[in-house]
Amino acid sequence: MRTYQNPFRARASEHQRDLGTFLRNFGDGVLDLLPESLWDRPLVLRSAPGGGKTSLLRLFTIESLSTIHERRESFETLVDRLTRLGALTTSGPAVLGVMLNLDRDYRALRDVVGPGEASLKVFFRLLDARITMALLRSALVASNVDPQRLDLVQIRVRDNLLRASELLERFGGARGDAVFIWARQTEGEVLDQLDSLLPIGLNGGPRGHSDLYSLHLFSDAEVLVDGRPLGLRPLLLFDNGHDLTRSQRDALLERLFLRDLNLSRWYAERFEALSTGEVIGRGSIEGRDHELLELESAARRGRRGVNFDKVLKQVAELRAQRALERYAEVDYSFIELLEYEQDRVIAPRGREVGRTVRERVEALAGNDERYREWIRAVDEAASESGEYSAGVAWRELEILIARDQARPIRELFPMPLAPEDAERASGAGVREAAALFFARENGLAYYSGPDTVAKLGFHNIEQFLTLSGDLFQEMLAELILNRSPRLTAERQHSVIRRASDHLWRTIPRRLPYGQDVQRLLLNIVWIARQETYRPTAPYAPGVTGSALLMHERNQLLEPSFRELLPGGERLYRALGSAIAYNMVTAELNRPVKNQLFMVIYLNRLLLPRFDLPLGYGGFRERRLGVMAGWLTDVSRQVSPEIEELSLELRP
Amino acid sequence: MTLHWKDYVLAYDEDVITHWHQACPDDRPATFVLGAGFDPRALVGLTKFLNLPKPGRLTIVVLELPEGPHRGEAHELAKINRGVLQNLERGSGATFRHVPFPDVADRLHAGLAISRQLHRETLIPHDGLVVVDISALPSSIFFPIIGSVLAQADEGPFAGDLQVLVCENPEIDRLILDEGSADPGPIAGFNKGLTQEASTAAIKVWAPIIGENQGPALDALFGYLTPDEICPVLPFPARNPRRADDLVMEHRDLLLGRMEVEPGNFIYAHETNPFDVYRRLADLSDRYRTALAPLGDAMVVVSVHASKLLSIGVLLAAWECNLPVVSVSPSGYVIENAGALLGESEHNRLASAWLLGEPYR
Repeated sequence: MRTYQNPFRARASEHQRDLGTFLRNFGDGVLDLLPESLWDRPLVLRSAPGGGKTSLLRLFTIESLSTIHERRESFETLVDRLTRLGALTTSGPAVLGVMLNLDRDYRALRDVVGPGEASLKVFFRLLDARITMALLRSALVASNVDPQRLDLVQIRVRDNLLRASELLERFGGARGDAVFIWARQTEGEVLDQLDSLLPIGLNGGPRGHSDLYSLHLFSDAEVLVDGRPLGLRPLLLFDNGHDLTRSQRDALLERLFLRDLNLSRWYAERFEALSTGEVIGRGSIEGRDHELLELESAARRGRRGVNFDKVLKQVAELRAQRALERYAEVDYSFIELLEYEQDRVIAPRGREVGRTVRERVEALAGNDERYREWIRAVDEAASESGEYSAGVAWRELEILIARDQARPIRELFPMPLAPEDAERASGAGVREAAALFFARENGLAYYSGPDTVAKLGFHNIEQFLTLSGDLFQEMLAELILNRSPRLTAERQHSVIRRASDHLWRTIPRRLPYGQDVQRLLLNIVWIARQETYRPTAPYAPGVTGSALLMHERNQLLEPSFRELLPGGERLYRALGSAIAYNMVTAELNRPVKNQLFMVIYLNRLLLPRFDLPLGYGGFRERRLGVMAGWLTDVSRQVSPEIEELSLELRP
Repeated sequence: MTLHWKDYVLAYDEDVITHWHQACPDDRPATFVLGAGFDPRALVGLTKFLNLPKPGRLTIVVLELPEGPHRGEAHELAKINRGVLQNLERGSGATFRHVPFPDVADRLHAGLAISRQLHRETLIPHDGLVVVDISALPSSIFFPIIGSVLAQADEGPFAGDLQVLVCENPEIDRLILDEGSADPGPIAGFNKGLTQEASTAAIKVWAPIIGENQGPALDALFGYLTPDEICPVLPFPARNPRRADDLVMEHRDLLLGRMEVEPGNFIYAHETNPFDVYRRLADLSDRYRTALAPLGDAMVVVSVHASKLLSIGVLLAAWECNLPVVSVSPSGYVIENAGALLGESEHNRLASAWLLGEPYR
């Protein structure tokens, strides 16, 4: 029997050594998010889990760059972009990219050696050993030489600089094999102590040294293989910085930010590396001595004109292309398979549904002459448009009339309103709200289409791939049944709502302080639904967030204040975890009515589960005490009907 | 390959007490190590142990566990356990030693820190009966503790009997869920070269023992390890003969989709016999190392996502075959209803694995 593999789910092959799969699936548009200055100043990359940091770093390793260079015709756009960035030349890689994973052992040093300087010294020594080993191995890869032939490697200090020469001696001399042995022994010595099941003797603690010497050594020395200089600029790619202790991270960054270093260094971490205060406050280490790239917010802002949703669609196409070719034997595009005709959403109940909303509008307007022209204009337009568009237009008019009727001051002599008044009073937000209301009231599909799927990715590659994988699974089911893999709007809507529900339900299991995070979000959802579904749609297309006054946010950052505020500490932790794991975004200093707010928007993929719109904009602020109370008041029942919202469409 | 625990001693229910009698006759000293947390199974073994007529010196080592926030169901359950423990302490005549939870930066290092402290302060003696009750201890804590006793026996100083006790209750397991799945990594003491720079080039085979509701932990470890091959271990034979199938159904997206596990890679081990798991893992390690030797270093990495009882088998295989053990640290626990948890105590079942001492001399 033929097996069908979902290319969005399969992560194993690209995690492993199948560099080809990784490179084929790499959406090169993401490179446009990188800042101009890449090589001289250190680059700090930050994102939530799944933001794409590791993939970005991996692209710049010598293994990736060499493979791309060897198969230039297969990776034309990548070659083009990497050449423009200066990582690749026509003769091969221009940098010696070396990946260093910081999630290995370093944090435990504090537990074995103790806090303070002694622990930092061992940290530097272990990291030096690993940087050295990785650079030597990569030099052999770059030269296409057997990775065991370390005897062919030589390190030569430029201009006989005294300090670098001394460091080289300390590292075992100029021969690559001798330096490698020093590094391996150093690593082994530290790891033995870390992993010993029996107590370590009083004098047996691991040794250390007071700086990250390898940075200085490889700044002032060049690597030769088989007597020939490599001629590549070292690029140290530090990944998973969030796994270091705070003092290790700060000490490492301090060294990486030194201006006199003559090698490139990139450092990636999750938001969780920041203290909760920094996650909520943002702004710990930003400065002129480095470049900072926060992936999700850069994607949201569309850095240098990049439309990140387009990048996501490109990633999806790259992944799906081969599988669709193989399984369907027809040249399908994944994105096109998600497109649908709007009028099919409403069929076969189109006429009935349209009539109902029209009758409601007429009843709302009554005999009021004021709305006569509005109704006539919509009637005319509806007769010429499809049933879906007509239904939404009537629903839009219903909102406008409700708004007009709610105006506080009435005219003495009411005059009919002109159709232009309706256009002025409406807008994209109202139309989106009308479409949402119309779909919800009539049990129609709403969350579907390629743009919606890209939006639901919420600028996070992992989240987007997971959702696309769910949709692709449905396509595979159709293919197995020998049918077209095109997904109807209803199927997409249903898959998306289930994915949304899954994201919601797994929060407690995936996130630190997940139960409190869920409680916090549920209260925001409660407000959002209350406000979104008011007949006048006052914050069209709806409310998808809450906000805290900036000065109250500042109070929340104060431990002494949190201690006095019931629920303060829990709110602080829950909010920090929600931001770090991309369940919400926090936008600081948003001015509204002469006050500054921190606006907290829900992750878009949570919104379908609660029938909320995907458009950004609406939020309702709450006082700090109220928000903190959400977490402590166990008697407060937040809308059991929200928890139990049905995920099914109406038949 | 000759396995150290090819012949083993394993007892359930009332036979556990017989084991205690056999291992600790007359005035031989006994030490009972347990974790004092919120788990309602924490004190089941100790209560029975203290009921034995025991003329010899009896030391109870209570490992304090982090309580987490002073709220919620876990906090209430921990309060109940504290009260029961105080009563036992008052009426037993045994010496109680409380070991506070260490201040650690790496939560997977806490067990090793505790273990080193136990040996430094000779809270685990070199003779007599040592019972380690793992019912309320996370694997990151009890692996290094038991591993250290095995190491001491190997190197000479420990000459006593070691029994590992567990109070099993699958119903309670189902009601306690981990909150958050952070910081995946090797359990300290069981790194076995996993994090060495050289291991980045080694072929990694991962054998997770699969259990219910463990998707987030499996996913976190998969991301951490990026293994070349995955051999999930499923419980069969099991009381519910469909349990292995149910587990594959529960984790199908993860195992078959995301991790691309080959259908032929599944391993089956007895649901309630840790020595069966031990044999399977030892065999797996031996086969892969031999088969992959021409391609370079191969490393079999294990992790436990199922019952405590099976984790004993993982521990023994890791100890004997030098296998790295990886785990994740939850930030807390999700307990919907403490009352329901307490109501499940009728399903408690004691099991004891006799690992060192008389049967093996």
